[in-house]
Amino acid sequence: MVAAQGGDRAAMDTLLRRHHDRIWAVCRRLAGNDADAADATQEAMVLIVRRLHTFDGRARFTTWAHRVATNACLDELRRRSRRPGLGLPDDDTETGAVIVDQGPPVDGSVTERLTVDAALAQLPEEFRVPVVLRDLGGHDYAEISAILDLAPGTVRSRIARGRARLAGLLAEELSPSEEPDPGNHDTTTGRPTTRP
Amino acid sequence: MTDDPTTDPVLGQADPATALASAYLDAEASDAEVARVESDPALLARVAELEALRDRLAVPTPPRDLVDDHVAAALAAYSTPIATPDTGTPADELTARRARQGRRWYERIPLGAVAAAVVVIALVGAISQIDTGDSDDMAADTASEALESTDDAGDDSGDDSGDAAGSGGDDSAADGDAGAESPAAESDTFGADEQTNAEVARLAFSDVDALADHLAARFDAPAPTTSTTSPSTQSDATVGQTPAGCALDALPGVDQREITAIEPAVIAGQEVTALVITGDGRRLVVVDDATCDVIDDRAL
Repeated sequence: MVAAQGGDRAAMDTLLRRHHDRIWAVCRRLAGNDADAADATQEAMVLIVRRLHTFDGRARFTTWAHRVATNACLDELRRRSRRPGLGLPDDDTETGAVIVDQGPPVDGSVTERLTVDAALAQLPEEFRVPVVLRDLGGHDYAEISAILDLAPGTVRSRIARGRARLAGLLAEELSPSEEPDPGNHDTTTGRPTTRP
Repeated sequence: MTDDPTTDPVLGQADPATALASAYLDAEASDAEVARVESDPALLARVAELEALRDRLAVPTPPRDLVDDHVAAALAAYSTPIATPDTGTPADELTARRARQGRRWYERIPLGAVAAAVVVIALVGAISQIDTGDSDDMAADTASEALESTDDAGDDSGDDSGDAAGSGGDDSAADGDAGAESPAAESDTFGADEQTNAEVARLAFSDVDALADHLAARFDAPAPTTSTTSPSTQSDATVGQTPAGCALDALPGVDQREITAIEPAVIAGQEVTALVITGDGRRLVVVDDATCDVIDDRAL
């Protein structure tokens, strides 16, 4: 990180690659679809580079970088939500614009992601973000507290309530082992939205 | 949204069992809570449910070419931090737009400084044509006018001859020290003209919400925005402070290096300065020009 701050391009490359996948995972669950997540992740990476000179070492770099990334991701999603009619596809399997699976797509796994995205989209942002930071970002409560400027007790409470609500929502959806009911493939109800 | 741990308008009351199981799952439970969970099969079952939920949230690892694209775009910003879209930034227009948005306000100073200097020179020239007296008297008069306008003194009759007479005593001293006073008077003149220019350029808003909406719309616009209301951001005299003279490093939560724009404005008749800060997200900080107090700090 120090080398990257000093202008070492190779060090910056390594630093970005080391953190990319976790940032991607967080943005993917916050965005609800691959296309928005890709743009948000790119925006986050660019901002991390541009703001690297402001990192003073008082916090862990991971905490700092994920704070930048989380806010960049949320800002990007809010910007997109204020610009209707962009025509961004919700169904990643149809457009194939961003292929997330490294192998051939499996119907069950795609359906499962859409279900989880749909449930997450129904969670208020104040609860969705802490849950995502904990379960996708791997941050502890203290780090999430620093990232979101919340008291640790509030972080703990919001994660618990977010999970409780998420569990309830997913219990109402298809389980991965069931055969898909054609009626439940109504994309207007099952697709995640791009709005947080 | 309330932070009340017991009730929430959307999610209802907290579930004590889930709260306990959730903290235990995250290794954030106290020793007493751990003991309680591990002695209760129902709580352990709840922990298992939440762990299964966590597993369902996992996403596949992104493909390497996507990672390469993201890293390349970020490195392009690393290589050319103040680049324009025509000078080597990635071909992706969206990325280029974001690169432009990421430029800080002080990175725009050179062009703006030229514009501000032209305006000030023109104003000084216009003032010099109004008063046909001695140049030292003219400088002293202008400095007096600047002080009066700043202090909202009641003696400012707007009559140049009156001002000249009023500052006659000062003139006699100024004559003796003309060489020493002139540069100071000129700098006062520069400051006065600059402030006048900034005051004329202020936009008026009914409240902070309206100001925030205006700035958000500007910064969301795809084309680079050129501000016509922040000439003072381009002056060497205002680096480190707002046009009203409030020290930027004295403002709580403000990092000067993250300031993207400084916009003099008027909110319900109150003169303020709006700072747009792009750091961890984008923020709007509104500073009262009279007291230098931060009167609003919000996400933009």
